[in-house]
Amino acid sequence: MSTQSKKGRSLNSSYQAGTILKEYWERAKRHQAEGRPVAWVSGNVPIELFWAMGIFPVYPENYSAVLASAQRAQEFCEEAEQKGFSYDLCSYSRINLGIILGKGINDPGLPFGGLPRPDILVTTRIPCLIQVKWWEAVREFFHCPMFVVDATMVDLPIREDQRQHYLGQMRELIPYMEKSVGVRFREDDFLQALKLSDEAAALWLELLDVRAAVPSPVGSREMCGNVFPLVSMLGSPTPIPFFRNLLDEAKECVKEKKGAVENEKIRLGWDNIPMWFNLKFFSDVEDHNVIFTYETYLRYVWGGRMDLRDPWTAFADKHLDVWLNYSINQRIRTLLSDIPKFKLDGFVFHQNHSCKRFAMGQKDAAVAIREKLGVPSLFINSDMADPRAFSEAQCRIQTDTFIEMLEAKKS
Amino acid sequence: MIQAEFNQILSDPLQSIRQLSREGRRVIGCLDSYVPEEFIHAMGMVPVRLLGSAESITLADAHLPIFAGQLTRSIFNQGLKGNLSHLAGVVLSNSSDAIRTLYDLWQRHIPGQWSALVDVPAILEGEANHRLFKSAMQNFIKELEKLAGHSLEPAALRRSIAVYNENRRLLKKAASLLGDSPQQLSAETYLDAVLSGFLISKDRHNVLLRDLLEASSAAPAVSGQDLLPLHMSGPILVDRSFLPLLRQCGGTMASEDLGTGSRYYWDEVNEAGDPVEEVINRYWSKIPESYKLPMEPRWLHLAARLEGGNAKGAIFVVERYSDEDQYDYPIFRDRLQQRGIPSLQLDTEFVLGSEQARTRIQTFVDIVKGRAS
Repeated sequence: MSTQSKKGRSLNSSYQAGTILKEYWERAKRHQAEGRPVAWVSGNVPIELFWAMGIFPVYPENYSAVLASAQRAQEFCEEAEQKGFSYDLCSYSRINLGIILGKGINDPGLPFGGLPRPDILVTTRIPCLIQVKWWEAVREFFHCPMFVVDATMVDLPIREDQRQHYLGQMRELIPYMEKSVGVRFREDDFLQALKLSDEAAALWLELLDVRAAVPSPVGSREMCGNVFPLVSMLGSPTPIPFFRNLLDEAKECVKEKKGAVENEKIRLGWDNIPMWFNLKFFSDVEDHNVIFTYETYLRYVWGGRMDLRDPWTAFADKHLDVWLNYSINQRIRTLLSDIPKFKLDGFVFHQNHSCKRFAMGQKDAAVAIREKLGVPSLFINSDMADPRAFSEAQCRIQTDTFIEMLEAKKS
Repeated sequence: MIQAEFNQILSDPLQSIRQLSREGRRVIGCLDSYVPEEFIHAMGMVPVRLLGSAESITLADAHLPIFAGQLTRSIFNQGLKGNLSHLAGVVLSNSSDAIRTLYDLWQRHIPGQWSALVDVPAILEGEANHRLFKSAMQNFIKELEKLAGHSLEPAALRRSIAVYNENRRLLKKAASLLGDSPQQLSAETYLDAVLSGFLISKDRHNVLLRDLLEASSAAPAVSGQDLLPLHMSGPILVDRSFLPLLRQCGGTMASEDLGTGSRYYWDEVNEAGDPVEEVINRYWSKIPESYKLPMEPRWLHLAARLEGGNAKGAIFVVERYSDEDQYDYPIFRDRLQQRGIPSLQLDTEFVLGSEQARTRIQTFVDIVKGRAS
């Protein structure tokens, strides 16, 4: 692979992502300094409730990803391992526990001045059971109230008993949060948060759809940098102008047939969380006129649209209808439908050592898309945050060979 | 005599299960402590536990990543090889992420075999979770009834509950003999007694346990009073070579809270109420496994068992990639440390009897003995 220098962002609005991230973490600190409650939460919690109730939702997993991107994950992983947390555990959690058990969450050497202390912990089994175990370990240190939202895996459409189970838990979570941190739930605020959430989701999903165009206006590296507001700020107004600007620019690129890669030849999809310490992987392939233009992580992990004519049902369905809560058959059905739509030539499965729930079923999915669509796959063994699980030389050889094979297949 | 029977049952677990099928019994392989075996037993079938193995994985790795863990991979491998084809069915519960997705894979790749999922929640607190738990158990009864071709009879269930409760009481008695000082039952025999119960009908197991307890109560204390009493914890301990190795290193198991030990059998079903409701209540409120919340009852059970056996240290046998237990260990280690109890974690992939393990165990035993003297 050549080492030619990388170009800048395809969409100018993407440069706002760093500012939004910085402001989010500064705002979290400010929120706490003003005496207002902070929750430590995880992916797929009912985020809109937090924004509606004035509880600032802090995402330690995002903080771990930030540290991984800054090439600082290893030091915290090793700290956690020295304290007894196995190398085989989720690297997001090892980074977080390494911070807590090492110099602490207020260490001035940490990005954004560290993490605010949680007043309450809220997590969910929806992405994985590991998240719940991680929070148990965190609670051992902070001794604060904790609530876990459970769910069983779904095959679409979502069953009524699964929906009612989720809503039943919401009826327990709301008074629990009111009592634990002294806030009040007002349905009007909640409905407004849902409206904001849905507006942002609509823009984001349209942006992802626009990337089905040939050539694709924006690749995975840039989009992974843009996803943070979708993860953590649905229900607040912040993501809306950001996503709208991205979408407008992307549409303009499509109109002008301006691709992120000048001479796009091969289109790829990606499954699993990216290697945050090596997002360059996505842009390196662009030297071969290859673009990653589809990611399960960006499309299905953070929830989709809501029909607000029936807001509570829509709210439940949105949070249950996510990739990590899909059965293997549902994941395969989804890929078989999306791959032709995005005109993908190949698919890369990240066998992420840290995310079992994502990695389970990938081999069956690879067989299914090869047999049903003739689309070949590449498996990369690595980790989302811990660089020790990644072998650059091996990955490079595998990727180059895969691309050569796809080029030969297309010619 | 009884030990010889245990040896025979445990020398080839798959063969022992196969033997039940040969006898014309409908055998159901269960993979979890949240599969309500009483329902299966009451339908006239024999629930056995799929314990996995240390075998080389030849077929399952085409479908599972290595970090799915040896338990999941080896059971699926056995299924794909046809080694479990004599079973009338397989039941999994919604436990770890790996086991839950194993159910999906089983349906995809071994579709000819009846399989069921007891789709219970992970969080065993709160009304919404309780409702889902109950409905998952009731759905499982319906699945069983379809398989059996007849309804679950309350009287049959009551009889099954009585059999299972007796089994639990007998195993508790065995645990108390293990914890006696001097020991009335050796650790090796205790483990064999517990494990063999996973591979035969509980009715037969009760007969063996009664004989064992009678013989042990009448016999003089087992040798090895100079051995260091230790507590064993972890999700699964099936390697029978481990306890002899521990003995060679100067220690012995005096108590345990293993997932394949007391956590499996400790809680009884209330025999007074509605039998279906009471079985469900038992599984809802049993000592939670590491993949269930809340954690505190598990810790309290560990602490109580350890105290009961007067153990001077604890060994946590943790399967590699068993994330739930890997998260628990540092927490429990620190809590034990606060009580002055040292602990050791042994990472395994089913096999514990290695020379590397010997060195670590020997060092641990020596350190704990040194502290005690």
